[in-house]
Amino acid sequence: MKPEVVDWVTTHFLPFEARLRLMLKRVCASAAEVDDVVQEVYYKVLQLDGVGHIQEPHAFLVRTAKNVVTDRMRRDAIVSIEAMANLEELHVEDAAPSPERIALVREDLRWLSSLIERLPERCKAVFQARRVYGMSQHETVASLNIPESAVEYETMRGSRLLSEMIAAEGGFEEYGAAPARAARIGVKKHAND
Amino acid sequence: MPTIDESATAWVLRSLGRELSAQEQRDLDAWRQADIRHQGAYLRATAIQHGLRRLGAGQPAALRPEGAPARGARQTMPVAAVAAQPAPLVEVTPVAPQPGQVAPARRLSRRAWASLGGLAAGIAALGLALPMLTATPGHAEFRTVQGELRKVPLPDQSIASINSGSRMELKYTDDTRAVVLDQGEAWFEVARNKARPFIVEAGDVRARAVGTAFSVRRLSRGAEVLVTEGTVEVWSVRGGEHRRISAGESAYLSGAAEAVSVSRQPREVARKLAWREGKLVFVDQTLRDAVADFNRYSVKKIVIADPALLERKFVGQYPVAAPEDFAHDVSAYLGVPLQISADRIVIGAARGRQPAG
Repeated sequence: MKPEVVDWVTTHFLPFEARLRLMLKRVCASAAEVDDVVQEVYYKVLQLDGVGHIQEPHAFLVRTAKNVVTDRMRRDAIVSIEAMANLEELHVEDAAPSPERIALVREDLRWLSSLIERLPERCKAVFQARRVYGMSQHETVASLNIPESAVEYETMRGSRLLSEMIAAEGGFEEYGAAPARAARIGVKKHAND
Repeated sequence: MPTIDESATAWVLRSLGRELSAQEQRDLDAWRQADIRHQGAYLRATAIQHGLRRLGAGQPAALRPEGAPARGARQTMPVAAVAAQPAPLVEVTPVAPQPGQVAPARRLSRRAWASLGGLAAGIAALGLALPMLTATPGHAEFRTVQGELRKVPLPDQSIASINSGSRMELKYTDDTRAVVLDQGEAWFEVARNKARPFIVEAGDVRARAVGTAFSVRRLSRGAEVLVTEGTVEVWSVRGGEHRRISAGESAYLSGAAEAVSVSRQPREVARKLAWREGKLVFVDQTLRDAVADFNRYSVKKIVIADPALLERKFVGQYPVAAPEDFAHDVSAYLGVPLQISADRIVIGAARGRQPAG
């Protein structure tokens, strides 16, 4: 795994994932299929040689997702007409953040902190100690004064809950709170038909 | 049955926590090869952990989760993060007073280190005339071995935090407070006294302060000065300009009579001084630089066997005494082999070597 790719995913894909899932819901038959497509998009990103050429991360991700869905439709041969129609609408309009925004977003992991904030109390304390502050299992046991089994359990639980929150909500609210133009990301119905 | 994302998370946590056994590594490889969705989910889980590390790295100074956690967590976290440092790393030997007087424990915890500022103030409040206790008032020498960090109260109530592998001499007179940095790096919290300037000498480089906090690091050529508070004047005794640098700025002086290069990057200054907390913080540093940083603190050196890896960049935060953790993470992120022996840590496979057998 290339570190720059991992970093790019952290910065651009994770906060956008929930939004992408919402878009995919309209073209996928089931929640399981949305999961499949999203994992395949991650796989496509993993295959990239570099990420320096990606000017508009969100548009790139939507385009990649669209290709994955198209491939699946071809492969499966049976596709609902509605899904086909919706696929045409799968695009990001004006999703490109301004360059300064890219710089800000790079630094800005507030969306991730705000998700961590919502973990249950003990889970949050353990999870932060282990995964954010990089304390060892032993140090966490000593400083929080809880049994080792609880540290293991809460670390795993925190990771699972965080993963679910990223899928369900991501960092989109955080994006939406800043510039108005970012709020236009999404599937848009054309009025001229 | 766990979902793909849950399995991926479990694998990533396991491989970041420690080195996988040969069997585990085979299982992981098999799992990843079984399905491209597994590979995608593995990237996703890795990126989440990377984000958490970056989050941790974003607050290098005191590791305080600012304005954040609710009760309980707020109470325990800063202390916990402070206590996370392995204790033996910090040894405290105050300059003048005998150990029994002010430093009952030779080895103090990180917490104790954190409260040393208070200790120095306490000494002052008690009215202990520190120089009287030393043979030659105002003269002393300090050394730190590799991996050792020391925080020493100076006779004038200034405080020096001395980084790994350093040597420093105190030459206080009635007019000036001179400190000669022969080797290594130190950060000074200078007690205000306009009548007696505080001057650090690093080779031909000089840094002068009246009341401020700054660090000087002696390099093979010249020195680097980082200012965290107030203003410091820097120059080379060989001539050239005198420059005033202020909080959040850093200056590099080659020692020759040429222009001083000053840059203003408060976050970078804070990052470079994370050693005071016993931490190394990386924000897009190359593997080459990160390894050089770790090797300052340890006799057990990290070696990069494959030069192609040297320019890879990293974000993260580690205790200075945890090169193995760092090496594990690098190996996991890059998917390169890792070999840890008694005296060194080798990351990556050497190129051009004959295959075994």
